[in-house]
Amino acid sequence: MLYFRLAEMAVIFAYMMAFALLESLIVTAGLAFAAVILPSKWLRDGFAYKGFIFVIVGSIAAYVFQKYLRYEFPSMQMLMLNLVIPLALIAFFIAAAHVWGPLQKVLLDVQDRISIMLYIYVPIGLVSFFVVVFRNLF
Amino acid sequence: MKTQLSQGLSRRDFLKLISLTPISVFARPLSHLAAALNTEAPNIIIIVFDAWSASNVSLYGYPRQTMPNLERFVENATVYHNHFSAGTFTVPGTSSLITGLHPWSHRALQLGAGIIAEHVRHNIFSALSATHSTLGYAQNQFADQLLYQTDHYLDTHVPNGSLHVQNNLVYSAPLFNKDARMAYASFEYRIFRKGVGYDASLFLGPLYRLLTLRDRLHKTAKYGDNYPRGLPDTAELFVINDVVDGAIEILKNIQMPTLAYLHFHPPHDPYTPTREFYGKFAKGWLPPDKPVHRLSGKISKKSSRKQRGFYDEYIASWDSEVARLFQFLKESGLTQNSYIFLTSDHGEIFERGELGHWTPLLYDPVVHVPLVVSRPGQKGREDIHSITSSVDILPTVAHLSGNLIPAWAEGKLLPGLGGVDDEGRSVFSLDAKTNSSFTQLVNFSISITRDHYRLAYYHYPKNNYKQFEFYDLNADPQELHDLYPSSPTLAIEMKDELLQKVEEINRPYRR
Repeated sequence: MLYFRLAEMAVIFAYMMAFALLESLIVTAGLAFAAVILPSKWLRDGFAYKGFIFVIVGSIAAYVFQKYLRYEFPSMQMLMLNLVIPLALIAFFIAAAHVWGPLQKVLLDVQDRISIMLYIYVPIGLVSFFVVVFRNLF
Repeated sequence: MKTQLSQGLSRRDFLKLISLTPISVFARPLSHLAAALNTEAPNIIIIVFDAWSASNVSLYGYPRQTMPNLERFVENATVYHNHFSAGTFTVPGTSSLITGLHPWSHRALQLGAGIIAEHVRHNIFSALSATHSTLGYAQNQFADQLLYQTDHYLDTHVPNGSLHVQNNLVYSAPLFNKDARMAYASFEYRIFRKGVGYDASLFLGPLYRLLTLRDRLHKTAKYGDNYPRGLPDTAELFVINDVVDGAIEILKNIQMPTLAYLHFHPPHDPYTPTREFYGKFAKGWLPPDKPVHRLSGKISKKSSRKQRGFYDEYIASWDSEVARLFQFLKESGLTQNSYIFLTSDHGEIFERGELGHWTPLLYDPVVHVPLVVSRPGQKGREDIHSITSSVDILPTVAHLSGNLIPAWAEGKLLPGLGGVDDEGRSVFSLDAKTNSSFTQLVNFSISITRDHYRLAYYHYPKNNYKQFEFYDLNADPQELHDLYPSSPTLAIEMKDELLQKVEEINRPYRR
């Protein structure tokens, strides 16, 4: 804000949105790939709510994990904790949603409402992507 | 760690040479320029050591023997004893060097800022582009950003990471060459923040951090034996002898006449001396005590002294390695056909409760920087005591290269290089890092140095602090006795000049 003009801020926003779109595609592709290679009961059946749990718990875990990645490579113990705890939580929530119908319904309802954001997010991401490509080609 | 040519080409040497390949890739076709170049014109080589304070250099009277090799180099060069940077950290300091403008004109006032659009084409490379091939290299990523801004006038822009053992900055990838500044602001400041705050990239951010930290661990294990306080670090790790080797390679390949701007990171923090100089200044001379300034970071005396020792050791390490560059300049004949400038973008302070250069204080250690110039074929040492400023380098270089001095340049010709001693001259230094580039200055420090006097004005309404300080630098070089309270006539005269300058700076931004 102190030294960028509005147009430059818009370009930085474009970079961030283009990268966010790319990251979302990678994460979604990763989940889809996991659904293909894992037994169907693990992820493919009920992919919508299971994938949603993956993304939500994974996002929170990744955010918390950043705190431990400052200036030194974390210990193996810390790395394992940051992998095992999110996986255990994901397994727990998937199992809970599987056996407790109301939880599954709530998750699907929330996911359904959030998916409306895609109508804004994807076009902005695509426009941003073309802005970034254009600026780096010409 | 040093390479012995007699031992043949080692794997390490090969890797070093490979690291220089991008230089050839990034070199733009020079054929269009070749016909226009006058091979009789001298090269201009500007070598910048980042955060290099004259106060800590033995050549300038520092009691610790920090730079004996520099002292040998200046046996055939001109030493400017009263040279001051216009800015107090890399962005404003470097911008003033390459634009010849004061910080209030180029408006690159904050960390990460750039030169404002109306002055981007006003730079040292554009000033010499008609007569010289131009080359730029900056190890410091903030200085590199400024080179990207002037990229249009650079025939060769050596990538920032090409001399480092680690290369992890996204913006300098060839993919983003055409938009490196925006890529830098997006990737290095927001998407991947590398430990400073949270990454905007939720999943790939931590993964990237993890890989970068792992790479640092491996590189430190591989190259760190000679560095007891860790490898030198400019967001990417590097080894100082590799950087010197790389610079020599760059200079070996320049065509005559070239303007080469080489901006090295040492002795900028972190202060990581080689084993040979580790602990060299732990005992012996101690700096005088100075009162803690109200605007300082309130760093303890013990900590300041310790860090000063580390800084001095790092300067001595750098001097030991850069001696090979000095030797190369002599042996290659470049000292015969080139003007060689050695200087800095700003200084470094270890007193008054302050540490480093992220400071509003404008005492000598922050703004007094070395300037050494070697003329083609110069025999013998010359000493110039006139007051000079970093904004003087651009007009001087334009004059020496046979170009017209640009009308927009705010500096003067350096005495001994076309200029004359101007006894009544005032030079300014400014720090305004918390201000907007597009509004009048509100919280800032500005100093005016004239003859052997300095008046500093600290204007920080946000801290409820507005104060003038006035020092006689001849009688009181340590700036311990503030003469302002006794209202000497000269202080009042300089105050009028300074306030008039502030008014002039702010007028265009008043609504």
